[in-house]
Amino acid sequence: MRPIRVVVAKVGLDGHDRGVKLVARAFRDAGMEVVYTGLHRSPEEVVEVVLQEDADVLGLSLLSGAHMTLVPRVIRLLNARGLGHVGLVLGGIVPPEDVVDLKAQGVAEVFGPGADLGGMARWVVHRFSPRPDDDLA
Amino acid sequence: MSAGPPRTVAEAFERLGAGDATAIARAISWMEAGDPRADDLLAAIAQQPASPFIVGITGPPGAGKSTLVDALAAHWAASGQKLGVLAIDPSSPLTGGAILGDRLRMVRSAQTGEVFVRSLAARGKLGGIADAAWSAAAILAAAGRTTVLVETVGVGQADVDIGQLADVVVMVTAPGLGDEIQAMKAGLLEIAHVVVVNKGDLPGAQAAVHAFRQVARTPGSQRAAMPVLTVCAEDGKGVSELAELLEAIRDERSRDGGCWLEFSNRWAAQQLETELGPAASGWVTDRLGRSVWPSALSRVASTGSAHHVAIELLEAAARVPASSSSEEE
Repeated sequence: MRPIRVVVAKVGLDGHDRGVKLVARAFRDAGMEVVYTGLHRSPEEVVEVVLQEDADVLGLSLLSGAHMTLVPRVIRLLNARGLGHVGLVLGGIVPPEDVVDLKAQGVAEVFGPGADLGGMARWVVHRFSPRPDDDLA
Repeated sequence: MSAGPPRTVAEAFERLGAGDATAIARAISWMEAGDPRADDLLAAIAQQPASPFIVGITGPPGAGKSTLVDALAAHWAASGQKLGVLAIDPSSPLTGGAILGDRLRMVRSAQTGEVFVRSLAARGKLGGIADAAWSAAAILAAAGRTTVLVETVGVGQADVDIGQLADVVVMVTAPGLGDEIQAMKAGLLEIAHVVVVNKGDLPGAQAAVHAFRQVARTPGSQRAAMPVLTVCAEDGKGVSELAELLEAIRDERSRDGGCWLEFSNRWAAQQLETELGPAASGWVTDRLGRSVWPSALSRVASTGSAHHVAIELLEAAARVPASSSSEEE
């Protein structure tokens, strides 16, 4: 079975990357291929990476509180570029009421700052493993 | 609204011809996953005259390869060229996962849609990554991206793959990486065509240039004319000189008229090697003689399928009685 490909991205002005690097390592340890985009990427750049890497999942790291503007923009861009099939997860500081809203928009899960890395990785593997009836199994 | 990824070979082939990035991405994924659609697509591509110029960028970790790739790609993109970049990293032998972090440094290229960057994990391939990178380069070329930069880590000895794959190999190093010159000697002599000393503004850069020029002058070396350049990839100094040198090498190869033929034959040789494996190839040579290979390669190149040619060769070899094996012992 092929490895799951994840793009891990930090969008916007938030400059904290220690957490996202730990997540990348945890995902690798769970057998996934992780493309890390680095800091200060625009939503357009991130979606371009998702497209070129034919990613299964996009993990957005957001600690700046800008999730309610950035996430809808990313979702719109993903859909516009034919990437509606890509799973979306979020890591960062997100109030519970916003989590509900974001999930309604299509975010699969939101992981808070204290989330267990191994558990997060296992959740992503379980949720996004290719299924036999998927086009690219 | 863009269409989602292609589902059929015909759709992928058509969209590649139109330069569609989503089709490039999905075709590479098919190839990586061993999806049968990839074989059919590559066979169709091999019939088309789109030959990539493949530049291998290799060297020890910390040399600044990704930054140099970014600078080179941005330089060429600025002149309107469409490029592909393949960034290759190892997979974990324990978990099968990988961190593909090279494109992190490709900031300038990311600003322009002219550069298609794809990260490839080695995925524990027996024959190394060359096969996959090869196929990916063919896919990029079919989509109009006829210059492909391939970045891998290596100092030459374990990195024989890049020498087989690339038209020109650029070995990148930087001052202060320790005494890597010794380690790189074999690689420089065997596979590099151009040496680049990056971070040329740091102390030790000139000494490194001098040392590499000495290596190139080693008696018996066929690389006596190997150019050694200094660059500073971060601010772009020396990058246009490097680009000009690479273009001159590319033009020289095209002038032989053999660029496409060469690619087609190299692809055919690779496919046939993969189908047969070393034991069977050796046995075929033994029974039928070396002269059987050129026509076999042409048949692979023209039919697009190595599988049937491989079977034909094996059947023909099996019909030759052991006692009358070819005289090449």
